[in-house]
Amino acid sequence: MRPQAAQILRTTATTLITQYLPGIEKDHEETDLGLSALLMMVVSEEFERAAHRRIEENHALRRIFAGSLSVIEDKDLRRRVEKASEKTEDNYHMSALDKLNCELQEVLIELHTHIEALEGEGARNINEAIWRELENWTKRREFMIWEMAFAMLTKAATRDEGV
Amino acid sequence: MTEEEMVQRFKAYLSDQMPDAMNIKVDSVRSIVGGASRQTFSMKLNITHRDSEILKRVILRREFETGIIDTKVRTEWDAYRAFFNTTVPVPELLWIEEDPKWMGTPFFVMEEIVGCQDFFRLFLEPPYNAVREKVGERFCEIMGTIATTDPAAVGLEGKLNKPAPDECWRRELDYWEADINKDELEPHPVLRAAIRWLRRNHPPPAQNVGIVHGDMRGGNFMFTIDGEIKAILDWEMMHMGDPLEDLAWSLNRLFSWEDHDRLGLMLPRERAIRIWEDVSGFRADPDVLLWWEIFSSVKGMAIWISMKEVYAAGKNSNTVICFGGMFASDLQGRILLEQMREVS
Repeated sequence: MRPQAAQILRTTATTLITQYLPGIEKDHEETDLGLSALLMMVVSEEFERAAHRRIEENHALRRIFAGSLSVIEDKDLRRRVEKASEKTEDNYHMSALDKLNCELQEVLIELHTHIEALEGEGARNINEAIWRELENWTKRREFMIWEMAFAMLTKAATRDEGV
Repeated sequence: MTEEEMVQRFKAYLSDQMPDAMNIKVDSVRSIVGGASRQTFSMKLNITHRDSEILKRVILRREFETGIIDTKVRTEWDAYRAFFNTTVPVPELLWIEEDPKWMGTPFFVMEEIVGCQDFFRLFLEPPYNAVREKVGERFCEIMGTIATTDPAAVGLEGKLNKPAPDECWRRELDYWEADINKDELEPHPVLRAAIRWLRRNHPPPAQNVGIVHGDMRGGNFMFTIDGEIKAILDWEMMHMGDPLEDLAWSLNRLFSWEDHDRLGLMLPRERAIRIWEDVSGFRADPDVLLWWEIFSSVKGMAIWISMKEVYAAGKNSNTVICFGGMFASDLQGRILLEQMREVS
């Protein structure tokens, strides 16, 4: 698709903010339109990375699962983690990637809960590996657009008062 | 509910409440954006009633059909009535109506505090940055006063369920975890790890079980350009609990994103805590406060997750709800990760 979807969303959002927003008089309508435009930018940001972040994360989670098998003491959990470590992407539609990603995250939560209760260096290493991955997990979901939102809301608040 | 629909319905309500009124005018109506728990309108009332004229700006707050937080307007009403004409400033109440026949959901009306601001990011810029510490000091004094207010002395006895001191933390954590379980749209491994940590490292019994505002933070009070606080608002989550809960919520880094060491972008953290301790007479033990601060992030995540859920489920299509949920959960998630890396 050309122009690419992310570009269309960004351009349309910019048009709304620069051309239409200044002409709106009612506060709540201005906020509604402004936030709608910002949401388009958020979607644009997500559109670009959506597949990548899920596939990258699935790889990372499978690596953790495979590396933790020798440490897991609960047989049922070990079997589920092993099964999860073998799951691969065979459908690249976003809904399918998202479903697999959520399944793996649920297994990660179970694994993390189990590992936290274990003693020993092996468990500590896995726990630290999980936390490093949770740092990446958080980073992958960050949006860059919020600073613009802060500025817009501050401007609206000061304009209300005529400062 | 649109502004026009609200005005028609409210005029009908006022006519019913004041059958002698000669003239009921409602104008200068505007929706107040940003609330996650109530639909809020500001308007001007002009009523001729028994040879007198009522002319004032008022705020009408109605429950959403599908609430993000399970709260009742009666709780808010009770709080405002309890603290009116005390050293905790609140607006004057006018009407409450819990019969949904008038507005579709229960609502109440109070005076509007005019000539003030509530947006806490204004403390980052002139002219409000000049008074932010003054506002912060007063905010902490008020927060300490709320914590030590005897519920019976302000008419709240029997209206709020009082947990035992050792049940305060568990009751709050159970409530918000259940909320997350109900509304979560996707797994949150950091949030789940935080909840487990909170249960493993729970605090000692509360040093006192008192009134907790429940949403004591920047954005929920009105301040002037001279640095005075004219009203503490948004009491819908008021309950009885550990006084450190309010202090920790006010210190939530989400409300001081640009300067984590300043409570609500107003006052240096340590000074804020000291004022709260001096006024309340309670101690903010650093380890216990840390527990409540991590809890605050969990509670915040629960609320932001619920905002996303009501939008995703089509229960509330307000853009502010969608945007607020996404925005706040992203930033709160980063804060929670930072906190968990400090303790794990």
